[in-house]
Amino acid sequence: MSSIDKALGVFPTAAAVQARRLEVIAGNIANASTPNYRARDVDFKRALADAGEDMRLAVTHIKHVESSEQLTREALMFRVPLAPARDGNTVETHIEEAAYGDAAGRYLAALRFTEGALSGMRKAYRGD
Amino acid sequence: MSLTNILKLAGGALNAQTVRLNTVASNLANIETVASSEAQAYRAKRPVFATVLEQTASELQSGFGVNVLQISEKTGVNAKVFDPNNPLADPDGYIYRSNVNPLEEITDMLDASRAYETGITTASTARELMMRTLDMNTK
Repeated sequence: MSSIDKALGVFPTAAAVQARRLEVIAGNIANASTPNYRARDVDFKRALADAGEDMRLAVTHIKHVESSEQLTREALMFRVPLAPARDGNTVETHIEEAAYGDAAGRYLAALRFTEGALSGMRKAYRGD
Repeated sequence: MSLTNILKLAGGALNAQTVRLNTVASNLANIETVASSEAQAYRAKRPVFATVLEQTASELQSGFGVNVLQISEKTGVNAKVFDPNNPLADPDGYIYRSNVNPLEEITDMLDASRAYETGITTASTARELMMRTLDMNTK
């Protein structure tokens, strides 16, 4: 982990996990009328832990590309529906919409904190 | 990047809902269509959606898209009406009407248009977040 990564803290990773979460929820919304589709969401705590250094693929050769953080199968969980539909679909659009808004808000928050850390660093470099 | 993927997912959803609205329009247009035999009579059409699984990423892929798997036809009986004056009547004087149920079609249309709106909102939120990310740290 580079010192810049350290200075930014957990927020860039948190933003990346929230972006993944947005994508999963967008998939749920897209499949709101697909028979037998089961709605899923990201277990944030687990995904954040997985996104840490130890989950990356080992880079042992100069030509290896460093892996981006990817969700493990365990971090994705099925949502428990309040009122399951007869066609086996467990997407409840209102709940997905709320979750999408929640993830978007958290993404923005993580972004704002990252910005704060960056501007702090910049101030330190400039010395004002 | 996952935010751009959302635009793709939402695009697929809008496409699927458009097909659904199209079938509703076709069903409503053919509600009074008659035919000379049950086999020729119009049957209500409805798309069947299926989740798109990208081949590259298998289970680790996070957002699943949607597309139209097939268009199925409603299996209910076509009403047989005695109307000997109709030029399409069979030798016994019967015509066969479509099996479209207008109530079903209207509810399906409302559901499709709601889903379409949700798809657009999803895409525009993702777009806003992307723009916000690009604007990061310019101040």
